[in-house]
Amino acid sequence: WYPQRPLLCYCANRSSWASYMTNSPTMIVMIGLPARGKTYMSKKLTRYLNWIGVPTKVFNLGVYRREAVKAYKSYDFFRHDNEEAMEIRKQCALVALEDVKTYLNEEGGQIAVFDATNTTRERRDLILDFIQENAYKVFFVESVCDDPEVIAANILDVKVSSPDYPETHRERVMDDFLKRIECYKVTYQPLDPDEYDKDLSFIKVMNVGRRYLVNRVQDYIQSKIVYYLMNIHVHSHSIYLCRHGESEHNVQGRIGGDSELSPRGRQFASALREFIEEHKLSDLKVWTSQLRRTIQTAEELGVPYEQWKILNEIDAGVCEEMTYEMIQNTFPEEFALRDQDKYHYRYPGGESYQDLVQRLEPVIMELERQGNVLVICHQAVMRCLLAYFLDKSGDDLPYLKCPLHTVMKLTPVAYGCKVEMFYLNVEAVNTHRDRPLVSPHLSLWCSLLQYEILMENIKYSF
Amino acid sequence: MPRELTQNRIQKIWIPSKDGKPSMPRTSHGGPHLANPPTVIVMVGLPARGKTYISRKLTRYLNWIGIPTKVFNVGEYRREAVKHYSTYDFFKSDNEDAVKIRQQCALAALRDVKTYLTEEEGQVAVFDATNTTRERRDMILEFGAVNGFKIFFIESVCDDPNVIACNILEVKVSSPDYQDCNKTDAMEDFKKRIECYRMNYQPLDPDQYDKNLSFIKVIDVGRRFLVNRIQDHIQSRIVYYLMNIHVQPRSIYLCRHGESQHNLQGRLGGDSGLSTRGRKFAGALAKFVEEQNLKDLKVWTSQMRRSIQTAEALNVPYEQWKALNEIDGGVCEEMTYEEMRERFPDEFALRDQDKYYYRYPSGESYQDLVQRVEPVIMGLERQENVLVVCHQAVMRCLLAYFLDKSADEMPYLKCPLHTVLKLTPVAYGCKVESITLNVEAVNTHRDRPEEVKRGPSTLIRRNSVTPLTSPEPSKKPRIEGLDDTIIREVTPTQLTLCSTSHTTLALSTQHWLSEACLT
Repeated sequence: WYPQRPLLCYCANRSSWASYMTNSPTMIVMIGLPARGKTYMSKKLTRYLNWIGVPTKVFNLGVYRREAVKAYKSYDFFRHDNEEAMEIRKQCALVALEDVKTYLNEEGGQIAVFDATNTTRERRDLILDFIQENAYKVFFVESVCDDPEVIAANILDVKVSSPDYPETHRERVMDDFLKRIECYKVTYQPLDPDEYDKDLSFIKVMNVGRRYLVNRVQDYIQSKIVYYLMNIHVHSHSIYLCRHGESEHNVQGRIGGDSELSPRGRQFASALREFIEEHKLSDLKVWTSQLRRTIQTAEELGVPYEQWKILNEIDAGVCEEMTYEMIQNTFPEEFALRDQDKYHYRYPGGESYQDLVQRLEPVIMELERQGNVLVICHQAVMRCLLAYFLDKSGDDLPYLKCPLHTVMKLTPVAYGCKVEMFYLNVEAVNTHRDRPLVSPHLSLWCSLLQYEILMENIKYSF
Repeated sequence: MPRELTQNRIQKIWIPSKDGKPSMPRTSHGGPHLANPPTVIVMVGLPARGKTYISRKLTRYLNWIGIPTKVFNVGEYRREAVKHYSTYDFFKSDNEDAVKIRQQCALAALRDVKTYLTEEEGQVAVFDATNTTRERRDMILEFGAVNGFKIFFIESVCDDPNVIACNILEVKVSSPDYQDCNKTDAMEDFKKRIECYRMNYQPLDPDQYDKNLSFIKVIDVGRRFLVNRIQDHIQSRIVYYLMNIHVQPRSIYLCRHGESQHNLQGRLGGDSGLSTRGRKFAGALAKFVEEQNLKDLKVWTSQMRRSIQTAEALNVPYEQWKALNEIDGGVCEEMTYEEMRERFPDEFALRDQDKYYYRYPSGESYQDLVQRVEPVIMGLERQENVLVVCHQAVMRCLLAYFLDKSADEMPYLKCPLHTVLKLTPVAYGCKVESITLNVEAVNTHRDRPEEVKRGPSTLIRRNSVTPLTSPEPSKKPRIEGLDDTIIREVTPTQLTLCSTSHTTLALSTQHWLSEACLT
């Protein structure tokens, strides 16, 4: 519900920021020697923040440097007495900061993650000046790690395949990179919570999350960032996502409701049990929703499972249990509106994908904490979870393909997520509706106009 | 062969059954919300560092989200053992008799912790004492290892003399230890007491001695935190909670939307607009807010028309939260209670049987509401002055959190229309003031029915979110007079003011109402 205001204000409201989270744009500044997981955390955090609806973007200084200096030769570039290189690196930082400013001021960004080593006070002071000039908030995330095994593993995982080392021998890469780190160590000034940096807002992550020092959290979004960083881990694990077996409603083409599995659905449940046994997953947790069809699927597996109400399918409100034809006949405007902005569209008396994401956030947080988990859920819910793991936007999310009787295995790898799809060879109806072929901008404009008129009418009919 | 599923009649949860009767659900021990094995939270810190404040607040939060938690305050045990406190000499480390007594009190408390966690279905025990020496902490760690309990330390470190003086004035000077003293003497004695502890204080050492322990060090009332080796979900939730609470003075105002069209017709749910009287209330609310003269008041509403219309009259920016929407009545939405009784007589009866757990078919229960509303609570903890314009069931949930009400009481808390509840944190609890804004409205409250036939309990509690009132601090035989001083922050005055009808109170005078009045 929005008060009567001209159309333009309505647009602004739709993307307006929840001010209880924070009232100014924030810059997250990473700090740490190379191979300490800064980019890993930057990307993961950015993915999470975007998923919960906070427009966030990473600005990786290495990318800017690679633009400026076309071919990387050796670690000599990073020596602190290499004046020419130092100048180039500083220029890159300034350019990146300009881009941060554009993103936060003109492109609707809320959070910019400045991913660089930022290991000297001089560099950090430069950033603090920039922050003050632009009235942003700043939050530092420092990663400190002394475990040589962890560092070696990081280098092998992501540096060996970096554009800086296109075709070099692994050992030479390792060698060069370790020397690169030494260059930085010489001038590294860690955050000092007792004196120099005691008034800054930051979190020091030590030894991959064994310990954290948190200083002066200013607002809600910073506290959420801290909470997120404290819940993620780097142990290898896999998350399996699938839908319940085909249900009676699926067969009839009805959405929502709480129907039972069809015979083919029950077949799928058996196939799922075999699948789990084949994959020999140790300590697999199984989660379902509180709707019958997922529970029936889990029952067949013969292992303990957990029911979560928040994994229930999207609430279709007045359209529950209808077929798409029925919806089109009974609520033609609603049907059209949904196609125009499927992510934000909320069923009357029901939910939108945007509501679903908010509802599912505790599931995501818990999945981050856990080891191996199988989540048996529903189409819209699975799309939301998948969008989180695969970094899909609100625009793409409602059209992700999540067919029945198919298990998706997600395994974190390097900076992202590997997906494997397993179709369990049991036939089922197809419940997917593709994105309609309409020009997005024109349709959005039309739909907004339509919506205003519609709201006028609806207001008086309640 | 897959087991058949039946739907539990009150909670509408599907569980496997044998011959139509529910059999034990094959769920793993402890849902994602519960800690397993039990956890002992051990407070650490000099006196007047906020240990009891944190203990009680944390316990209230954990109970509200459904984790049975209880505080064990060793000071209480000491007061039982040593009837009359004379001076700080008792706490001198060379006072051998006293040292022995104090040790025994700690052991007695630990015994009760064990009973609570192993026999009384407790999940978390908060061991509230100074625990400032390694010797004491090693004893507790041993206790944990022997019994299979997880141990999580919360250390409060603070050296700001202003904060400490403030704490002493707020909660120590009025403690049972100093009932015969004047303020200045009490303050003096207490400061000397702190010095006794300071001599032997060994703070947690994250670099060497204590590097393998799980703990959080809260420094300078939340300015900084050091978090070490979080083991599980419950510990990470505790850390998140501690990082969001603050001690700045502020007030939280809770009220419902103005009277709505549906209210007039006795209908539940829906999304109707305000009635004439409702709009009048909105105007009165605007005036009230102005008179409160608060700096930076945040206003939060639900996404339902009636609460937004109410906020609109205030002419200040407000935030809409879907999580604050009224409880979903499912198939019963927009019905009157009579219609519900006619169309769904069984459901109507079931609801009265267990109003907290009861879920409307295709709708929600109070239990679901608590889970839904939890992020709002977390947001409120971070904020300062906030006015929340919401709905009857939602307001009951929020109130139960602030006033430490159990699941049993929550659905019957009195939240009348056109009344603002002002909550102000004070000492270890919350002061409540009820302000009626002098605009008539219908009464939407249904009392707990007299004869409620409670059938055999088929409720599924393992994954459940069941607020429990934080239990009374455990102690040995009760002493008369002890209770009054413990709940000193709520003065049980003027019970005659409590009545079901609306008492008209002038806006400028605000009366204290005892917590008992709300039920």
